[in-house]
Amino acid sequence: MNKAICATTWREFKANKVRCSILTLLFLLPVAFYTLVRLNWDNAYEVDMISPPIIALAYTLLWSVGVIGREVQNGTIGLVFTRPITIANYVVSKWFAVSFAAAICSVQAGVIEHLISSFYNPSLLFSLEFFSNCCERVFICFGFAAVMVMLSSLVSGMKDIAVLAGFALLWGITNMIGGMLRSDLGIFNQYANVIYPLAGLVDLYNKMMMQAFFPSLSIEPMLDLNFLYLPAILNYGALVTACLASSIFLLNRKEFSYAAD
Amino acid sequence: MPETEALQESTDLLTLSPLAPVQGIVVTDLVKTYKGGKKRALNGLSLSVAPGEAVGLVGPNGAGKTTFLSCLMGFLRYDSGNIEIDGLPPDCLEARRLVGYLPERLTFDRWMTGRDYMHYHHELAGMPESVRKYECEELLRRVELDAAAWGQAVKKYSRGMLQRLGFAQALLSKPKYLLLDEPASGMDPGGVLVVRNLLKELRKEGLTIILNSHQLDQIEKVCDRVIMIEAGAAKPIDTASDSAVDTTFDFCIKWLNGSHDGHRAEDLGALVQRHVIAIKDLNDGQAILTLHSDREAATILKMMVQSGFEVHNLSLLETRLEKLFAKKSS
Repeated sequence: MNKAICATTWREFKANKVRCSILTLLFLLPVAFYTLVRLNWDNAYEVDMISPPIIALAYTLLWSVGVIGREVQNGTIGLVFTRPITIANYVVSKWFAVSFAAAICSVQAGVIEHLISSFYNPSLLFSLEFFSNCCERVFICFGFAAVMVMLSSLVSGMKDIAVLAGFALLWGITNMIGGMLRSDLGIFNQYANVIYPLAGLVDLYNKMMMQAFFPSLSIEPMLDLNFLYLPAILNYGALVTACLASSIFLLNRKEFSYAAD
Repeated sequence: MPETEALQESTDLLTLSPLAPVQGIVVTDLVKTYKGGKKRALNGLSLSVAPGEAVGLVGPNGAGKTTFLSCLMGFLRYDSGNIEIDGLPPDCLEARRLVGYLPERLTFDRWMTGRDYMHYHHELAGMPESVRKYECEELLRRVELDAAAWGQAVKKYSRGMLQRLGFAQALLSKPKYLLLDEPASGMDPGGVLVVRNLLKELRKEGLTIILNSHQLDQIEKVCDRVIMIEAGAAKPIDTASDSAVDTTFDFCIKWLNGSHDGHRAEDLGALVQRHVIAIKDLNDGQAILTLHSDREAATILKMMVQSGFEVHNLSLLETRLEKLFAKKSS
């Protein structure tokens, strides 16, 4: 991993006012939302009001969109590879830079929300729920960043977000089809022998898509030392590795020439 | 056998051994195609550059010069042929340590300052942190980039300033080989002079230079050898003995008109008539003389000064390389 690439990725984010503004909003909006809830719900002080771990996706998306694609589009990547840097080193450095930064921001936001809840109810301060929430955020950041790095190597500029949106749309459509196939078949009941296995396949596809694009791990079963959870950890590791390997492969196939073809 | 002789013998053996890596850049039968083989950018290009040599690349636009440099940098995958830089393939990390590169249209991270940019590439090049500040500033001074601009964002730089910054980054890793693609592109006359002087200094330091430039006078002044790249193939140009060029040169000579001796154009005609091939555009105070060599120009200059002409300028209108290029291109 290259320290210079990581530091430059962070500094580039800092230099982008739009991204910094969105990041500030991401910090403030949940706090504002939970403040409103506290004002309007009497039992609010009894629970730890902390955003679900899935919010880490937003932080990761903000940090990682166009992480490699923008350098390809601007042509600055070419000069990086005139230096003794391997493509693998570059990809891993970029992945680590965005995942680590997103994880820090996401956990920091969680800590702020948790501290506000703990201020009203000090017994919540050392809750297991908070700990597992933070860990899951970190897993989501590192997993989703790997997916984004792969998409960013596939297309130039910030088109990776369009590709992601395309897949999300496709996932939504197949999810809807899955729901329809599982519901009352009505006049198509005579084809149930065909339709139900098909619905199973669609469900499997949806689960795979969900796992492939949003790799995450639940912490609580792990804390129970449930070894049945081991395949999930392996699955997560394999997905992250596969995404990074695909990214290295895709960048290896590209030519970063200054010559017009 | 004395120790020094034994050492010499072993060195000779090493030099002759087929296993010893070839020093310099050796390119053999390089073929590079674009658009699925439909467009042939390099067509069996062969070239070798010895260590310490400066080679100029000339050729029309689209001849394959930048493609060739991109292949040398390992940016492009060539279809066939071979490239070796000190016996190493161009995409090898060790080879990259040896080469500095300045592309024609270098792109920058626009949010960075000039100093940040140098520090970033210094670190990428794997140079020690302890000397980072000193070496980066030294190079920025060397390319004569205004110190006030070092801390400014690159997006505020002019084209010439960017080119100077690009030149400085090419020298960051203390390369053995320097590949320059139009180093003076977009520069003001002062910048062009800086580049020319820098190239001369780098030559003295023993750097091997491959210079791609459309400024033929720059190539002629800096390079030992000139290679013309045309239709993807290399053709050496010998400016000293190429028979394709006639051996005459046009010199423009200027003298102060109406000086105390009142020398006029007719006087010059009478004076140099027997020494020149032709006299063109003969005016009071200026003439264009067609001569065979610099020596003849020196003789005529001496004669004119001795006859009382107050000569203030003598310049070559078209260099030999320019003449040769114009002829070959046509």
